[in-house]
Amino acid sequence: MPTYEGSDMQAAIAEGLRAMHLTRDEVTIDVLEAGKKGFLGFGRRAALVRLTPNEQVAPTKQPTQVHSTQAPKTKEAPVSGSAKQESEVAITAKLIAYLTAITTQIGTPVRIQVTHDHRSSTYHLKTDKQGLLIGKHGKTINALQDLAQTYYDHHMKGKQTIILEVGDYRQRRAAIVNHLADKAAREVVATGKPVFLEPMPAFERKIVHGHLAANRHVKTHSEGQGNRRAVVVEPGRIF
Amino acid sequence: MTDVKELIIAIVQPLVEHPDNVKLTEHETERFMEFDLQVDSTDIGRVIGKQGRVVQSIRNIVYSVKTPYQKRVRLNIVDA
Repeated sequence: MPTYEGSDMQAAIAEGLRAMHLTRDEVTIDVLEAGKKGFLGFGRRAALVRLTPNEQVAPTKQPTQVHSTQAPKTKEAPVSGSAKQESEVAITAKLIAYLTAITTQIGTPVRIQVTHDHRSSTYHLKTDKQGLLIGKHGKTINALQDLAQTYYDHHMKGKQTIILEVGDYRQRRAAIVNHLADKAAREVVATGKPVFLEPMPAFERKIVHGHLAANRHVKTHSEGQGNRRAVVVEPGRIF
Repeated sequence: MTDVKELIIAIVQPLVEHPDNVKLTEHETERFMEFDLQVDSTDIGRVIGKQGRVVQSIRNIVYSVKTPYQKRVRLNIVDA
């Protein structure tokens, strides 16, 4: 993986982005060396960062563009038996039809674009009424995602996770959730007492667990049943 | 305004094994517009889901829409 050097962190990142022809949103930045300004040239150290392109911009994965009214055109699916590929395409088309039917009924007609990944398929729903489709606390879109997953599991014994994305809602939520997690972690470290986060769906809890896994000062687990299940952040062993 | 009946059918029918056996009737009670959903007895589990997850999702969507009724909507699943 490429690493880049610069006089400070910003410069190093900018250097890397220029070399990779990507924008800042498209890469994951690992700081290897924060860099030091030093004093009168003494103790100066260059900043070193590693940039990893994010999954969704990997050039090999091209989105499958499907309009609700026309038959699906699929660009190469992941390599597998052609029979399986067939049904994968068919189920994608059926799922799109299913989602289109429901969203039309609830008054938020959508256009759907699908991107496939190794283990998940993301359905990007485009509509003018995002708020209505997302619902309070994402209630409607999460319910729809659950139904889409149920539909998929019913028609296909695959192991794909179905993700519904409206605009950049999931991304925005991920940023918010990470922020909440960090805030809770700071509070836990400050008080030494466990903190309960608000109840979240499984995929958001997963973001929290993943995000705080790198933090050695706290541990995380989940408590509660069903849709009341919430992440608990508690002090780790190391202080 | 949404036709609640059509919405429920649109959600449920593709999920079940016997789409022809899906029946939906509505009636009005004091506080609710009640929709009674009947599906093939082998499909009941599918529509309800583990811990009622599927039916909860259906309700979340159905209850979120704007309806022509003055009353709240309620979705019941009826044993055949």
